[in-house]
Amino acid sequence: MNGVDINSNLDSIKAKAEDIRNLLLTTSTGNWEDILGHFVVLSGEYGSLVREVNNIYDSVAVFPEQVTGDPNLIPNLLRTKLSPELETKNRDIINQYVSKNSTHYDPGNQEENIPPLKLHIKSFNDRIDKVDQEFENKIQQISKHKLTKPSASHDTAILKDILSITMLGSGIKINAQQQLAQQQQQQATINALQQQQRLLNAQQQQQQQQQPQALYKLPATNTANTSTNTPSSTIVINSPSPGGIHHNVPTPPTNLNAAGTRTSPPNVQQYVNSPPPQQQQQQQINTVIGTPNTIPTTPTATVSTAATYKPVASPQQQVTSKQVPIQSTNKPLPQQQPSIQIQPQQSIVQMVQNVLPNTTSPPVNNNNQSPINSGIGGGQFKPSAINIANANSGTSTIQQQIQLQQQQLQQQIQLQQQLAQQQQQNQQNQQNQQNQQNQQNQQIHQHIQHLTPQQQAQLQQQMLQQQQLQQQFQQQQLSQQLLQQQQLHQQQQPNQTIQNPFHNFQANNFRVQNPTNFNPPQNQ
Amino acid sequence: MFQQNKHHQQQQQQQQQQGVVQSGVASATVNNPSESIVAGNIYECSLHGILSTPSSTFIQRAKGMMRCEHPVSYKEMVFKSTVQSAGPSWAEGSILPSEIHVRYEKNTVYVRYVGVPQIKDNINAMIRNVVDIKSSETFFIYLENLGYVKDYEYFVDGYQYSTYNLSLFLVNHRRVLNDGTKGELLNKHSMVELQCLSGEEGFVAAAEYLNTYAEYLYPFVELIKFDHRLLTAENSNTPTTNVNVVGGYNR
Repeated sequence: MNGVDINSNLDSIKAKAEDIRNLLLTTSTGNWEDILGHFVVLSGEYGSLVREVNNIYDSVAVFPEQVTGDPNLIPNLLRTKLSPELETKNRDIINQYVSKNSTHYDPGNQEENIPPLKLHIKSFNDRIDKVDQEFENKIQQISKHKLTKPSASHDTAILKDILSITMLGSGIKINAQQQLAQQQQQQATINALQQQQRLLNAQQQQQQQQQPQALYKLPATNTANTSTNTPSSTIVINSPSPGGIHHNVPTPPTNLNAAGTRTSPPNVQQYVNSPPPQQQQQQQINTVIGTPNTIPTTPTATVSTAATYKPVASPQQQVTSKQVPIQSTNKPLPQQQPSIQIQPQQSIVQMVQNVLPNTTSPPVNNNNQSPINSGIGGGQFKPSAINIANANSGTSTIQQQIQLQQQQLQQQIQLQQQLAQQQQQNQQNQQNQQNQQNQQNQQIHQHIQHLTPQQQAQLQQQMLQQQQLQQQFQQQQLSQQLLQQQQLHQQQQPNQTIQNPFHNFQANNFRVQNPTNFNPPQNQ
Repeated sequence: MFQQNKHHQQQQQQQQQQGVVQSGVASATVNNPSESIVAGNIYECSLHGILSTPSSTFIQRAKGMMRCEHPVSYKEMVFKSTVQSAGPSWAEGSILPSEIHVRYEKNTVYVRYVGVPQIKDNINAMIRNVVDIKSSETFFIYLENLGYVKDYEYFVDGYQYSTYNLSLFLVNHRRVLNDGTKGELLNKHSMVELQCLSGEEGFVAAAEYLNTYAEYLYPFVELIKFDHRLLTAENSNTPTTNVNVVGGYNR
């Protein structure tokens, strides 16, 4: 036992440890480097002690003695981590151990069996990835074709609609349809008549503004016109209502007997007070356009003549009730309808303007003569004449009323006739267009017949190409429509959750993460 | 000529006189029409659905499931009775049906009595008593003489897929214009109807059969048992529809 210095070393170590403890306890704000220096001294004394002890217990004890690096940087005994050399040595030993354990698959050939095992694991992972990919593709296809459960409420509502139609006939009842159609037709006719009346009314107001002093034209001025045998006779009457309107519509001739007295005048009072049901609609229109229906009747001396009127339905009333062109039974006129040439683009205002020149010099045939309708070329207004009995008096308000009513009725008749003519002309125009197309086709055929065979072949090729192009175009349109429908369908049902049958599948659960963790069952 | 269910003996006589329709569903189920008369009343069990998926895939599935396919195109006219009177003397106690369906298909008239749907909670199908009779054009005159008036009419176009005792219809309905021609579609969606005929005792089996097929068609179309009371309950609120006129659904 040569260790003479062991006790002294132990004492010095103990003293140094005391110093360090006092230092740490006394100095609250100690210097870290100073403290480390103390430790260095302590570790040096410890090292000398260990060297001495090592000589004694060399065969029984191992100390991490040989450390490299700067010992002053961190004292040996304060280390919590192994030195880098020890770490690398440790890693190598562990790897050797792991490699030894991983060769349980075939212990015989360690080095040769590891690559096939890794290949196997890799192929397994690849297969799982492929399965995952296939599932995703299938989910996308399902979402594309929308083979999902349709929303039950939406389909049930549609089904209810269809079955209510097929089982109950809701919405396609025949009676309801007919009623609807009749109502629509009535409304259409009423609207058309109202529009015509409005246009005419506006035109008349304009004319009244132009001629504000156009009052009742006395027959003295008209005798000159009758002497010139103008067949057309229009009447301007200042209506007794404040909103007076000029009625310049021709009236058909009334029936006259040989004595020139009226035999079938319109029963004005009956018409005004108790209109027949067919004329209620027209009366409503008259009220709309402001035509006076209630005309104040002033008792004048000519009442006696008015009293001779027989309450027989006048031809005007018959006409309005039937809404057909005028048919005079006693004296059939050669020209019943006013022949107004209406161009298709011609508006009603223009039609009225064609009529208007007659109103500037209204000739009234007041000589109790039957009207003479001489043929005047088309484009001119040729109405049938009206005969007014006792028009020379000029004070008979009842006659004015009669004229007024007659003119109103005939105005409506003329409007209907004009409408009918317009429809006929439209039909004629359509027929003309069709004829033109047929003629063009015939011309094309004739032209083809005159061509040479080569040119005909070229033409046929061109026709075929055009047909092909048209087919392609139609196919493109179809495909576009299909795409749009699909897009619409997807937009309409964006919130539908797709029932994924593989939603529980997660590839990472099956994938082998690390080959070293792959532990196949050992062969016992 | 048509009777209620309790008078089906007279009905059988009448059917023997006029013969039975060899068309549509009846042909799919019964090969010999005279056998069906002996069997008694025929009931039509049906499931309905709306095809909201593309029709091409549905048609492929239907072709794969069914035996034959042929187009269907007819005009269905429904006549309602204006008088509720007793029937002929040999059918004492019976009343005329409130409505008679007439299918006009390729100049052939099929008269069809469709009964009121029966409500059975344990059977998942709409059950209706049907009688199909082939007739001629003069039947319209006979209907008028009986006091029937055409109530409504519509066109049916589509396809019928049928197998041994099952028929699948994929049809669209069109409006009838005033001149009798085809108008626009009443609904842009196609209706799917799966039908199966049965006797009075075979409701349960027929409904099971229908539902088995409906399961195969499920992802394409959802076939349900439609409750007709939904129609009458809703339409009775609207004053425009006269529920009493229609098929006696309030009975």
